[in-house]
Amino acid sequence: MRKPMNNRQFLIAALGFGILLRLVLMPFFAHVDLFSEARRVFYVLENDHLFDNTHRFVVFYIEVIFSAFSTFFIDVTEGLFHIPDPTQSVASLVDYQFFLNDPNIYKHLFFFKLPYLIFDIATALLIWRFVDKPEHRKIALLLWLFNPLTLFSTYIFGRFEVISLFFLVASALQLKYDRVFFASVLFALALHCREINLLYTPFLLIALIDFKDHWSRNAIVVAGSVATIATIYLLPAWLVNLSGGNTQLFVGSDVINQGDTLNKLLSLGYYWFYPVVIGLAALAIYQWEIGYKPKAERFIVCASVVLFIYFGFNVHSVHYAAWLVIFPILSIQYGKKVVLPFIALSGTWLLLWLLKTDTGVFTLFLAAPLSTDFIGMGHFPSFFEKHIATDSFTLHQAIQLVRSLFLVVMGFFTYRVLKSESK
Amino acid sequence: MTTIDRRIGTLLLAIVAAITLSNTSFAQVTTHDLKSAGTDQYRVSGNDPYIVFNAQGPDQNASHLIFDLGSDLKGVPLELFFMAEGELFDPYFKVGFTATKFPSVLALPENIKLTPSTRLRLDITACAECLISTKNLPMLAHNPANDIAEVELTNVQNGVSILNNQPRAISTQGWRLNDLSGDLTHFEISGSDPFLVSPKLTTSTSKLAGVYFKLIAPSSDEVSNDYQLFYQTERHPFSISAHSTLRIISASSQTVEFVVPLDFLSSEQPPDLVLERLRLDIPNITGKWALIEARLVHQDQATDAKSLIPQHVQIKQQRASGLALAKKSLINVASDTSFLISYILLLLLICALFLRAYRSS
Repeated sequence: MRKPMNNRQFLIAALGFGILLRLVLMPFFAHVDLFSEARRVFYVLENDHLFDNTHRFVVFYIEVIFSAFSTFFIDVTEGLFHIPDPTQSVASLVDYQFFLNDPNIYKHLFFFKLPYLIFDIATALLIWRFVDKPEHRKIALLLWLFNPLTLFSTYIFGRFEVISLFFLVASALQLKYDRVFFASVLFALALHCREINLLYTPFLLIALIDFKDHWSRNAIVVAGSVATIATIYLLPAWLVNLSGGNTQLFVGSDVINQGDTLNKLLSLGYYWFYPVVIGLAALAIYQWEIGYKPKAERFIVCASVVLFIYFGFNVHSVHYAAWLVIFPILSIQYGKKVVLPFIALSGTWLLLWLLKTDTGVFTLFLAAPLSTDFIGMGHFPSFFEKHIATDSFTLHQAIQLVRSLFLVVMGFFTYRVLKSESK
Repeated sequence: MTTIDRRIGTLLLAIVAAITLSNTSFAQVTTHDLKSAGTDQYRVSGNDPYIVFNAQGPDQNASHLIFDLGSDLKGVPLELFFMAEGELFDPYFKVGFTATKFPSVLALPENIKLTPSTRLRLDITACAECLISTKNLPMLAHNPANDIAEVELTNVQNGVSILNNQPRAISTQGWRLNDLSGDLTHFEISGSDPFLVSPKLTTSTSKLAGVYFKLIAPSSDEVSNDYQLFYQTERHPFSISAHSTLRIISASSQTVEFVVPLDFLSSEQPPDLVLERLRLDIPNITGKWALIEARLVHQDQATDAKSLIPQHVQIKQQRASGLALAKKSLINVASDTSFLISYILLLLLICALFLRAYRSS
């Protein structure tokens, strides 16, 4: 009779299949955003601007180190990553096509995603460590390793979301063991990976408050955490300024005019802004009310719901959905049943972005080193309009319908994450 | 009544035409996207209207065709296909023309073969609701009389040429220059969209590796300059989806020469089989330009030509899916041998390491 797999064997088998799957995807897919990022990285390397960029600097320097390492294996074609003006660093499709036709395209894609693979697998190991019960940790591990959202975002779209998620998990793990300082340090590093992580900050700080402790102790803990996070967050820009560097190296005029964006935000120019504010305020009250629960649980539950509220009203870009993955997976530690919502999320996310795709998402260019029609249907929205849409059910209506379903899935997730743990 | 009318009409046409007319006329075989609109009359009813005629014992020495299709077709572009294989007409054997009055006469292409089975297909290319008369059927003639207007052929295709294993120069005659002033030997940019369009090539892509250009270009302040090559085939006109872009790193020499690969055309699905024309878009650099030479490169010369393919070239990406995709991917990946070997070794190593760890746990 065959022996059942032990926990260690399960971990090894899951990691083995997970890594193989990732290695198979790595060299053959990329969105134009990956090339824009690579141009910035090589610009810094080729023009000796190593200390001139503070934007998402943790991710950026990890990419710089790995790209420098890749040059031992790749003879980079002259001018491939040339940027005439660093403030206009977003690549055009013509530039991207040159990249796709480069003889070293597969090596470039492989090496550029290599740090993502390392952080991705490291995140899997942290999840394994975070979840205590064997049956729960297996589910959590499988959800992380084989969910289509992070696989797509990281190895097909080719973005660095997993690095940001790694620091968030590491921070949550420290919080689980009450190591507030290290949790704050790691959270600050996560802020240097993605600005969206700022949304979690108030919930991390509220989670640090222990209702059993005296208020003065709580005040010291929270103040210490704020100081740690603020220092680490502001230090790089301060140091670069001090040394005469240029923190605006890749910043274009469109980003500099942020005053317009703020005015638009506050004048309801962004329809999703106020529902999100209302939802987050309500969530903060909820987190205060569950103050008797462990710190890590309060942080994880609320951080999950933060994104459910945010994505309920605002779907943004296809790869941003990867942010949704990590906290619900960690909530499994606290008995939350999230597998079914995960399946629903994967289905609606795929459907939404098939319909809402542009040339760079699912149907064109992603697998362009191999084919521009990977799914055999050409540009799917055009296919939909030609073969499926009718006068009374247009592509626009289909998108709105699936967006509504996406909001429902966010509600489903919220319900499962907030619901008391199963017995 | 119909037969009598037709005979009278044919007789009148013959009288008007000339005494040198051949006695060969054509019988109508079939129509397409045309609906009957009375005796010997049809109205266009679809997107692809045409009539097929069958020769009745053709005069093999005839050189002209006289026809009368009714006043509605005056000024309407028409196409006559004259080479059929079974039911299908070969799109590379056709003439295009526009008649300003009827009856009219057109000169038959030189090597048209008139046999007892010769069929002609007349396509009405741009008329949504025209009325077409077949009362007077087409007739062959040797030397039509002067009082019948001879139509000017706007387009003659007499087959497709296949590249032999020698480079084929593209004639320097017949190029069209857009937003460029001067001629090929000396031109300057005079507008915002400068490009050159080749004369008609009508060349099979089956042995085509690419196209070679040699130009004199003014010096530029930019680090690099982009050229674009559009290709028109029998399936599509010039379009953004059928072009390649080249990035030439600026050099001190004013002579720019490069090869644009087009070897993928014959293997595309659906295949592009005939290269009709080329269009070269040049960068907007002020100064004196000249096109010194342009030629089609045969696949046998592909190895020599490879050194002239710029490092930065955007070749049209393949649209393959399914098995064709797997095959193309394998060919693509195998072209980078060092990558392929390292990649397979890495996959094997990962498998071996995890298998070992699994067994020892």
